Amino acid sequence: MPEIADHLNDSPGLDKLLKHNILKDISLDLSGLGIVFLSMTYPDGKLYFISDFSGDRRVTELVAKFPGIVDSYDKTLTIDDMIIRISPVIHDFEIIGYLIAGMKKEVSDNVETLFHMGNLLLKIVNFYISSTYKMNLTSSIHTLVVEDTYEELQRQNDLLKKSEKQYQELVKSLDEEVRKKAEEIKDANTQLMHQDKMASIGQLAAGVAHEINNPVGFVKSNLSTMNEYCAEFTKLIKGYRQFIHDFYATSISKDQNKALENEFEEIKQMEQTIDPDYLMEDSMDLIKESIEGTERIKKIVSDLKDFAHPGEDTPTHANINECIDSTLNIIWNELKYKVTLVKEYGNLPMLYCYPRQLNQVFMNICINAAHAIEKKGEIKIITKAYENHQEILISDTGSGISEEHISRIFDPFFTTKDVGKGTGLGLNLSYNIVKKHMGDIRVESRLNKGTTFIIKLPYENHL
Amino acid sequence: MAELQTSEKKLTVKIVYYGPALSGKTTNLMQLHDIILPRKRGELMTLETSGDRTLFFDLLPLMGKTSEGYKIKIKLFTVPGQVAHDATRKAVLSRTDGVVFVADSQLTQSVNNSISFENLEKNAGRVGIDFDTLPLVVQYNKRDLKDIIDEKEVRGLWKQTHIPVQFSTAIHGQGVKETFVSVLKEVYRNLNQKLNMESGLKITEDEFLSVANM
Repeated sequence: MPEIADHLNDSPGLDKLLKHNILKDISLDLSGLGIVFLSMTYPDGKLYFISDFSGDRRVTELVAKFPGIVDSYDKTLTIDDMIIRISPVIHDFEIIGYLIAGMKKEVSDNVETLFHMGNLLLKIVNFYISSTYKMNLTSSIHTLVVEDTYEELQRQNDLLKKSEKQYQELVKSLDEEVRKKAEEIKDANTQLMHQDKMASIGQLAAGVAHEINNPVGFVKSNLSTMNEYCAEFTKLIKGYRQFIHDFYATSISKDQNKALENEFEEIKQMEQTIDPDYLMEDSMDLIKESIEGTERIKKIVSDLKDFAHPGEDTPTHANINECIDSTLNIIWNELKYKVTLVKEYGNLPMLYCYPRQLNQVFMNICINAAHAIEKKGEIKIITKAYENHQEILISDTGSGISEEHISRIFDPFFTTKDVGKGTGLGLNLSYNIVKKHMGDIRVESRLNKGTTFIIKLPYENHL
Repeated sequence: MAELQTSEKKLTVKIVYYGPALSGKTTNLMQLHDIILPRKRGELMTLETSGDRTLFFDLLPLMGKTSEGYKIKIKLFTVPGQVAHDATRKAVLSRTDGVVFVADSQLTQSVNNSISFENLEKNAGRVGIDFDTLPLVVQYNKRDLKDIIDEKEVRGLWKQTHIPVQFSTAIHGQGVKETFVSVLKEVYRNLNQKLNMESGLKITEDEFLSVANM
């Protein structure tokens, strides 16, 4: 801060402290009072200001040669008919100049007048000088303070701006964090919902299974018994027929028993209409099919129970081909009218996994495949074993997935089905399950050609 | 920083009276103005607000002459004590050769005293003054009032610092000159080291202190 220190330390000169126009202004009034000569010089005698109304050039000339006629003391001199008063102007203990005032000597009183006027003039000049000095000092300090304050404010403003920017970025990143967390929560919620749903289904299935198993049990049992009975009836009927045939063949006189003959004719007619051979055969077939049906019911119920079994899920060794078959069994109803099923199963070793969960994956994909097929189509399932993993490919000849959708099919709640028809959760869940098994799931698809899902499941899955 | 003009045989020294608001800085200068011989001092320039509070600074110029004809000009400044005027205090403090810290002895003012002293240290640093070597005198003013800090306690507080402590009632003129002489001594010692006053410039301590003569 050199400027302020300079101002406070150094001694400014006449130029800074006493402007010409002030002196000029004073000199006009002074001339009216008889002070016809007013001048100021620098300390070295060089002229600073001069105002001469005397009409007499002599004083001016003398003053111009000033150094010869002055010393530090206040002096009154007579030069021709002029008396002049020379006073040093002191500021800050230094003589910064000399003030020279002159009057015509005509009146003897003028000496005294000049003396008092000179004093007054000096007072005015000193007053003005100290005023100007004060103002200069305060202006410079004011400027410095304002600049200093402004700089400081700028600096703080910059800091505030920086801080605000940091906050904004924090807000942005927080926003991002919140968004991410919200999605995580949504995902978790989705999973919970699904688990809940599966638990409900599981409970329902368990309940239904229990209710169905009972009647299915005794239906099957009864059918088996009926089977035996039918066999017996068949034996008996066959025996009766033989007897009638033999009896008729040994020709008892027709005349002897017309009534019997009529009865026989009636029975022969009945045989034709009823066709017992056919009934006997068909009865066996029907019973056989019915028994198969009850077995199917049992299997479906069992698969359903397995599929949605609530409670703890523990990993176990499973054969993927069997899992797929089990799943197909459950959903066959959705598939059978539209779909031609082609299976190319490889020889798969056991895989340590959560078979129920993988079944969910197969089910989701196969049902999607079936829905993608409008009238008739094919679903092909290929399984292969590799050195480090197993691969399952499920292809359909359905409508395919468009390019704009294909990147989103694993997103939760993404569905192209109408409202109420699809939850959009199936593939997301499938994705998560495959990932849980450290596996990979990809899709390849062409619109109107079909879709293939490729699932890779490694043996090393840290389950 | 004292300004030395060897060609003109002039040495200009600056001393600042610092302290919290209304502790008596301006009063000190007013008293010095009255005490010191008129030919050795200039007019006391005060800039105050309508409430008699120092606005920018007060300035009292003093001058002494040595037997060798050296002119010693001492400029005494005060700073405004109010907290908001910090930038002004910094500006006035710049290039000072010595400081008189005027503290208000009233117990209610002890926190303000501390704040102001810390402010002095901070601003000294900001204008490049080494606070540890700065010639400094502490004046506990307003000893005429009630509920003031005990003299013994004051000396205890400042003993470790080796900073001279003075007691005063500036409004009655008591202790003002002693404080001034004390800071002059500190300034002389410091300048003597830097400028070789005694042997080089042939300015003795007594001659330096004669600036304060009544």
